[in-house]
Amino acid sequence: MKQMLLSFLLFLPIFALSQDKKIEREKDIDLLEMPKAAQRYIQDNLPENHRKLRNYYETDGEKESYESKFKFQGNRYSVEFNKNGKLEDIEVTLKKRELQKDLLEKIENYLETQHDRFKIEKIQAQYLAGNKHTSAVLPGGINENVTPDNYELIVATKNDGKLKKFEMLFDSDGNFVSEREIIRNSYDYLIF
Amino acid sequence: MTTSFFRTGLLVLFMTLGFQAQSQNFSSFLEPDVSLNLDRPNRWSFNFGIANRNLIHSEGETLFDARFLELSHFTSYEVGFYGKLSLGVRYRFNELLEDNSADEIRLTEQYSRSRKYNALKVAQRFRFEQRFRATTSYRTRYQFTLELPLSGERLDQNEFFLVGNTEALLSFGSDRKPGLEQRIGLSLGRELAKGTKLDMGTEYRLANYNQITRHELFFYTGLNISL
Repeated sequence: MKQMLLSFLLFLPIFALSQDKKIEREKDIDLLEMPKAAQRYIQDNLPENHRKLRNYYETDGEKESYESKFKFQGNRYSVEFNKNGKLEDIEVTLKKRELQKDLLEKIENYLETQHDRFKIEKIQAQYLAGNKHTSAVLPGGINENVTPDNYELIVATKNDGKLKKFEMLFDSDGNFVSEREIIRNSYDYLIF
Repeated sequence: MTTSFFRTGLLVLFMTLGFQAQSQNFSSFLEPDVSLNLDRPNRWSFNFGIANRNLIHSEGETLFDARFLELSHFTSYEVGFYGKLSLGVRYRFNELLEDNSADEIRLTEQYSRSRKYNALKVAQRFRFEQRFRATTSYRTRYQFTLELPLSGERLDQNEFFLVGNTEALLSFGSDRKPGLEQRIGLSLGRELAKGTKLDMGTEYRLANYNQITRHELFFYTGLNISL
C-alpha cells in the first residue's frame, strides 16, 4: 500500500501528456532565418553601438511576423517586419521622464478618469513604416525632431479592487485610440 | 543571456554535487508534488497541494525511505498591483509512513510580490511559520525566485523554462537555539498546456549552518495546474 501510494505520487507528473495543438508561438531565431528583406534592413540600419541584438519569429496561428530587438543609447528598440520581411514599425521603449510633461499629464488624466487606480508599466514610442519616420529613427536613434505616430502603453489597472492589464494606444497628441486586455501572468507556481 | 544563465546554473549544480559526494552529514531526498491553483475573478485565489518526501541517500547509504505525505492549502488576497497576502495550512502525515515521528500541523502567513520585466519573471516571498509538533517551533523565511523562458521572451505552450531561487531561513523555539539555513535551487520546467506546467529540479540546503551543519540535496518533480 505504502509503495503503491509513493509510486503513484512519484510518477503522477509524467502521466500528464502534452498537447500538440498550438495557437500562439514566439521563438528566438538567427538573423539568417529572417526573410531576406528583413535581413537587409537590419544590416543597413542597425546602429553601430547597439547591444544585445535578438531576433524573433512570432505567430498567433494566422498572422506571422518577425522582430529584431536591441538596446541602443539606453533605450530598447523593437523593429517589426511582416512575414515577407517588409518593415511594419519601430517601437522604442521610453522612460516616463523621456515623455513630454504635458503629453504624460494628458495620458494620466485620461487614465484617472477611467480607472480607480492605475500603474503605467511600459511606454513605447511607435514609428510606423511608410512616412519617413522610421528612416529618421534608424540608424541614428530617436531624436526630438521626429514625433512618434503613436504611444503604446502597458497599463495595470485596478477597479473595484480587481486588477486588469491593458495594452493601450494613444496618438502623438496623447489622445486615447484603442485598448486590448492582456492576460495577466500567473506567479502562483513560483510562490507556493 | 539564456545560455550563460543555464551554463552557470549547471556549473553550480555540478559543483554542489561534487562537494556533496565527499561531505559528512549529507542526505538526499526525492520530493514529487502536485498543486492546483484557482484564480477567482475577484481578488481571491486558492492553492491546494499534495507532496511526498522520500529519503534516498544518507551517510553514504542508498535507500528509499518514505518520510511523509503532505497536504497543503493557501488562501490569497491581492494587495497593491503586484502583491498577495496569503494564509496557509499544511498537514504532514509522518505517522503514516514513519514510526518514530508525530504528525505536524503548520500555519503560514505569507506576503509575496511578483512581476515580469521583459522576459524575466521575478517573485519574492516572505513567510512566517508556526510548526506544531511535539514542541512548537517558529520559522521566518525569505525567498527570491527568477524564471526565464528558454525560447523567446514569452513562455508559450510546449516551451521550456528555467527557474532559479534562493531562500534564507531562521528557525527558533523555546527548546532550541536559533538555526540558520540557506537553500539554492534550479529547475527546468515545461508548459505542457495552457495553465499546466511540469518541472524537475534540484535544491541544495545548507541546514543549521550556524551550529551543526547538515547538507541536503533535494530532487523535485512537480505538476502545477492553474484554473
